[in-house]
Amino acid sequence: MICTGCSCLCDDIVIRDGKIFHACRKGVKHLRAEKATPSINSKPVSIEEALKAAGKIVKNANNLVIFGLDTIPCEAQEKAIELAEAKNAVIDDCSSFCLGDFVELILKKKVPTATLDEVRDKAYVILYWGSNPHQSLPRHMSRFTYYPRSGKRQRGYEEDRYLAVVDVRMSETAKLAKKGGRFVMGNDLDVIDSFFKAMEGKAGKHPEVAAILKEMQKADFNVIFGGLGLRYGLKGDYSRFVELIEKLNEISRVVFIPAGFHANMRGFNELMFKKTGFINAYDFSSGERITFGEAVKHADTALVIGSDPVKSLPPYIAARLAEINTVVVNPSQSLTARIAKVVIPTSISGVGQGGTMVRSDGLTVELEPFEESVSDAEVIISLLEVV
Amino acid sequence: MPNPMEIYKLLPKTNCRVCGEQTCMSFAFKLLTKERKLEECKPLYTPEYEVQRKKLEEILVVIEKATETGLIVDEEKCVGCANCIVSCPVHVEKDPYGAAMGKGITVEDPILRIEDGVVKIVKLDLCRRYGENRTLCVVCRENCPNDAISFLED
Amino acid sequence: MLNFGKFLKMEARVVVARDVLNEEKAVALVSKDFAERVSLKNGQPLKISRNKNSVTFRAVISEFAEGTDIVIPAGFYASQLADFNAFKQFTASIEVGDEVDTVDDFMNDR
Repeated sequence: MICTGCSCLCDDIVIRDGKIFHACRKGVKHLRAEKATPSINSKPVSIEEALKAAGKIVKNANNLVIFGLDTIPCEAQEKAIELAEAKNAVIDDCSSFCLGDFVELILKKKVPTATLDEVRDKAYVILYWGSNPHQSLPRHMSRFTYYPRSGKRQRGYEEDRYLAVVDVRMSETAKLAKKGGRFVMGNDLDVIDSFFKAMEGKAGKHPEVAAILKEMQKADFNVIFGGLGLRYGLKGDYSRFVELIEKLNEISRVVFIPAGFHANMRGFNELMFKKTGFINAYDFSSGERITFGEAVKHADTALVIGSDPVKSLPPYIAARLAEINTVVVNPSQSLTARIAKVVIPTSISGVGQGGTMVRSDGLTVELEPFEESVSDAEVIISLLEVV
Repeated sequence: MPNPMEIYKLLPKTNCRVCGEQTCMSFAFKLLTKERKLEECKPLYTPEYEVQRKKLEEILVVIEKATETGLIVDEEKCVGCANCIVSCPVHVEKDPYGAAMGKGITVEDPILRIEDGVVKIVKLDLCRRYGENRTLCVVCRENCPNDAISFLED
Repeated sequence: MLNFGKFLKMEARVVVARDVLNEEKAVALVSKDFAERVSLKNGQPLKISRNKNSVTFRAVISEFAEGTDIVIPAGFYASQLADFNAFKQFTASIEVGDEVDTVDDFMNDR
């Protein structure tokens, strides 16, 4: 089966005799999460009653915001976008504060990219920048980047790969890079500057980047994975980083891939980009960009699908969601469900519902569900019908 | 991990040879490699050495947890990244289109496998640290930044 | 030398990072340097405050906080302290804590 625990979408998971094989701790946690129960004002009800109550709330909403969507299949995301359009609502996902900006750089073709399979078969320098895949995407390094012996890289990490990490602190991935490559501890802008200086033959604040450049020149395929650390380190201005990638490509081939995120965040970004020209945070009533964090301040109703903002976002959002009419559509128990008016449980993507998802590198993956149960698309269609 | 000196200090240090070893020091070494069991030191089981025996039993619990190759897995520290499985030279050789390429291991009885999100020891027969021509391979441990894998000699 | 034990408030650099092993726990990884500087012991409750919000974590001295002062796992507790302008890194004040917080301590107030 396909694991939908993160954007690696591991396709080699086996479930046998109640045991899950090959999935990482994060994947198993996602696949085994405690199921939510349908409820209205925290009282258990039937799923039909919950659907009816949600329909009424969404129909009566004057100012709706739809949020989440990164863990559900593209087919359900499409329906959610349709619902947002029908209600002149705001729609946003986690990418507006996660790696959406990096996906945008790729969709707008501002940086060269590649697939993870190409990385596995060809890449020599693997540079994780502001990313610690060991914790955020546990199998990233063993499946796609540093450890596999595949294609032109048969001699594995010992000889055919070079691991580099840029981070503000010593991470698990950085610890591995200290052994098999190079770890640069520093501020992102300083490190970018040091790369430029090194290319001119000068020493910047981090002269050790020259060693990474030298390794890049040895190969015809290298990759930089950008994580949340880099995204926030650049403070919203990506021009210098884009310039660096251009400049690096004058000396060797260097592609860029966002490190990773929720299972189908990229799918949502791509659908939104096609439909609106924006990758996320879009207001169908004004045609302008507005994030969930802003929109929720003015909304009277929130439809939260496949996400737990009370857990992952600042507390003012939790307080606001508790004040307004909040409907939660999610497979597992969540903190947002605890403050919601209506909770509608759906099945886990890839387990009880199928469809497609888009991996962090843009590859479309068909899910392989093995149970039949309530899908997110069905729930959103039922809301669309009422509206 | 206990060292032979720590163990030796708690033994009777009489070199009585009841256990079959020439010296208590050599018996200490063999306790660590699990070639000898504590029960083979008869004098330790007399009231005179009771305090020391209890201390030794505590120390040796760790060793009991170790496998025949000295491999110890701490599941609490494991994130299930599979670095250990994919980097293992034996797995690479036996599973060239599975584990070697980064996928879930496909051989029937691998040394290690990720089960329910954490690494489990499946079968040690294939491990390079096992059997007559054993080597002190530490590849799996070297690629675990969380120290979820250790060896008795560490 | 500053003595943390005397309930002195101090500034600390905090990084928010993914941590699969600790994501549900109020655990703060503290660099050895920082722990020594403020005389903080392993396991001690550590209260971190920012923007009128505070969370008490259990301090764990760790090599993975080297380069900064404190690393806290992304998740509910970090969300109480971070905001959209400082999502991954911020400066916060720290002091000796009382009891380590649980999610319910916050949720029951709502």
